[in-house]
Amino acid sequence: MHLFRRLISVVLLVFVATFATAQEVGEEDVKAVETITQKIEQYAKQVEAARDSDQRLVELGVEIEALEKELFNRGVKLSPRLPQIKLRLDQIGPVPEEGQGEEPKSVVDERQKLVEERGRINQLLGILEEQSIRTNQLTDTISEARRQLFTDALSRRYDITEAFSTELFTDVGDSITSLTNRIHSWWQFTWRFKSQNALLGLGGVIALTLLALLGLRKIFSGWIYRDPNMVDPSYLTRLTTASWYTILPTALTWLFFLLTYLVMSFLGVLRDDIGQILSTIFVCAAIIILVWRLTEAIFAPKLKQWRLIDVSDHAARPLKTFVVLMVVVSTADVLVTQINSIIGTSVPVTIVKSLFTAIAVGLLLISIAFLKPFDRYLDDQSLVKVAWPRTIKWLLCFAGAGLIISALSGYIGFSRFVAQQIVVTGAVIATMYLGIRTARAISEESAFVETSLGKKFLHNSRLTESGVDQLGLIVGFAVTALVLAVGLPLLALMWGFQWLDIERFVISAFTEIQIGSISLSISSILIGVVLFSLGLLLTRYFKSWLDGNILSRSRMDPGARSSITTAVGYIGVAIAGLFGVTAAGIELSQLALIAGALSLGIGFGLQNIVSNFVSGLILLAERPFKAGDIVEAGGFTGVVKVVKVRATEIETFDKKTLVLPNSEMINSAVINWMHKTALGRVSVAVGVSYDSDAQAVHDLLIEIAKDHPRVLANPEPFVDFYNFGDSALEFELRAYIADVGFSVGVKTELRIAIHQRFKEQGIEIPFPQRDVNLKVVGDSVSQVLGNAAQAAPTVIKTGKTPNLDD
Amino acid sequence: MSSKIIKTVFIAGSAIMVTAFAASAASIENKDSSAHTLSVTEDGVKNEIIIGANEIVTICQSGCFITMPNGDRAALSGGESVQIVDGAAIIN
Repeated sequence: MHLFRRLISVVLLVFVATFATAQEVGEEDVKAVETITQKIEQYAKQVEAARDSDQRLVELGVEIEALEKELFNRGVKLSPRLPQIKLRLDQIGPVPEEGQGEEPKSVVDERQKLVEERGRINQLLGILEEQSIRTNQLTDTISEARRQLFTDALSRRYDITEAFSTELFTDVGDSITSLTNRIHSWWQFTWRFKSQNALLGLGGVIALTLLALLGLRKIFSGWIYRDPNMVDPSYLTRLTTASWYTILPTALTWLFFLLTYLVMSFLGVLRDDIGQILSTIFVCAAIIILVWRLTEAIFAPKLKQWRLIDVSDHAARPLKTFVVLMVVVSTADVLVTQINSIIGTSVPVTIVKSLFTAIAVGLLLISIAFLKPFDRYLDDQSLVKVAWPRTIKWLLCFAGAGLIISALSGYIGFSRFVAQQIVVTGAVIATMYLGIRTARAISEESAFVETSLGKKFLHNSRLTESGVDQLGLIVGFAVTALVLAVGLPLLALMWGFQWLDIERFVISAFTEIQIGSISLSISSILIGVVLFSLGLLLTRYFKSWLDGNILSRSRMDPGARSSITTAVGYIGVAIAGLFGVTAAGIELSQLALIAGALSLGIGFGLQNIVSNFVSGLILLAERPFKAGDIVEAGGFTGVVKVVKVRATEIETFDKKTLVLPNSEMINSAVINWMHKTALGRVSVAVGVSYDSDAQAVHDLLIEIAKDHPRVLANPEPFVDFYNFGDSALEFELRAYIADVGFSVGVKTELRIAIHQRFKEQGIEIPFPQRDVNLKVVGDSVSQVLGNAAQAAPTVIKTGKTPNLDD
Repeated sequence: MSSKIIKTVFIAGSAIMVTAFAASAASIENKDSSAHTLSVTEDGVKNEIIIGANEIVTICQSGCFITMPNGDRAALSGGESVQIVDGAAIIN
């Protein structure tokens, strides 16, 4: 490596010397590349030197990353010149062969210069490339060193008994003296020289905070007040109130801390060391206040109805206390570490402090494990306290015991790390749990409608209540997604994953998932789905625009219009599907292969559906009937409503919907009453007595038809005298009407008219008649007749029509 | 009505997700009739990739160096589209 570096330096020096006069890629670039190379060399040395300090390694990592970016930018800046040179060289042409004549000197010079420049740029880029490899190696070295440091810290064993020696007390004494000295000297200085400023600034901040407190109280007191008299508030109400109860006061205190710190540092009151200690104190206090408010909001020891987690009364207070204590211990540990690092580390103090933290957290965990946080009613009176689920209980116990044991056996670094991780991870998981509970509460039926946001939606948009409810489902889903999207990476970060790793993992999860030899990509599938949905939406809009703006003005009949829009819809869906499939990364040729392989199966399995679909297309193209036609098919008569992909919907006159597969409409006879024209014929049959004048009846029927307003004059109505029936002369009146839809009404009206006019004219409509001939064997006729007359008053038809008036 | 809104929300959501995770990579297209071998240094690792005739490959999520068949080098920051014509690069 050293040899290589030296070589590079030599090459660079030669460049600077030789090509100092170059135009496009000049000294500046060469120098920049040289600087980058030198910097990387320095960083390599620094990384080796900083192998003991994690913080320094992190800083170096950041710097190296920035340098790598600079390196790339330099390369990207240099790159475009090469194609330009290539182009110019091509224009100039190659060196002419001997005997082809001499070139002018200017051309020779230019070629020479271009070739040299090209070589130079390539060489610079080559160096940059090597250096990019080098920076990556450095980054790897850094992460390796950090990992090593971390493992060392965790696996290092301290002698605890030695820590508890007189040295500890002298060290603690020294530390306290040193700290008080620092604070004292700072205080003296501030008091003497900047007391006015400090007092003014601090007073201002306090006044401002008080003002904010008063103002916020007035506005928000209703938001954070948990009414002890309220009976059974809903989960969402509890949650919102709890959130405000936590956030508002916490934010106010944080604001106070932040302002105080800013004002003090702005006034120059803060010295470096004091500033660091103060900021740590502020951060620790801020965290403790947050956790305190949060646990109060969640456990609400005194306000059972406002509790967010279903723990019993007697467990709520200890739970809250334990959690707050755990956080207090952890933050105190952080604070002492910070102070230690400022006034000088003492090993015994570090050991004792970490030991204390680990044991305290361990004991608190075990205490929580042995709580019995739930109540169960056996019957109305007796109540049993129920412990945690066994897994949780033993997990907590093991964690606590493990912490204490590892700390006592000297693995201070490990136990402290685990203790901190437990506290922080616990906080994150608890917050995530609350978030997911929230999401679930929002998605519950009609929960979202009750919220103020839901009410706003209900009032300000055209959404119905069920629509807002569905929106609640989406909001709930979004909240869950958000909680997971924030929480999981946060957890991963805390457990030592690098941000870059997470980013890469997410990107690769979204861009490429390998399952065997198949590679899927969520993002492209999503793009496909989005494109398809967009295509569908566009098609729908286009369809309604076409139907509403173009076709409605073209005076096309509604049937043709619906055919056209349906066809356009099919084409739109097909195009959207193609776009979607292509965007999802599925090649059409692959699809063709699959389709080919499956076509046999599809051919058999989907035979009916395909045949119905094709039949539907034929129906749309050929239009033997269209929407609005009255047809007879499959033994039913009705109005065609719509021709769909698979079936045609026909509404019968008694308002039943008949769904008839399209293939049926193609393959069997369909009677269409309104094909081409809506002209229809009605026929009314009537019989008259043999006594009537047939010609007169014929004329009268024609007259009746002509009198009816809906009967067309052309084609003329006519009367068919078609039969000498058993009881009557049988006529049929046939008349044409313009719209077959009115046939039932017209027939009825014609019959009424016939009945009326026949009655006026005295034309008789006879009942069915039978001649009954009695053949009497043995007895005399009069005797038989007498018996019959006695048995029942029978009218014996004798061939004469009975008079209705009798 | 509501289903329409749900659909819109769904589409908007997925669109946001897709744009958020769309990585910027450089695409290299070989316009020649024969395959070319490129040397690509990405993330500190040097690789040879073969691009067939009229093939497009996507490389370089976060900056890389490539060496063209004619010996010219180029640094890419990702997001460029490079065409190889007669073994030489045209960077857009």
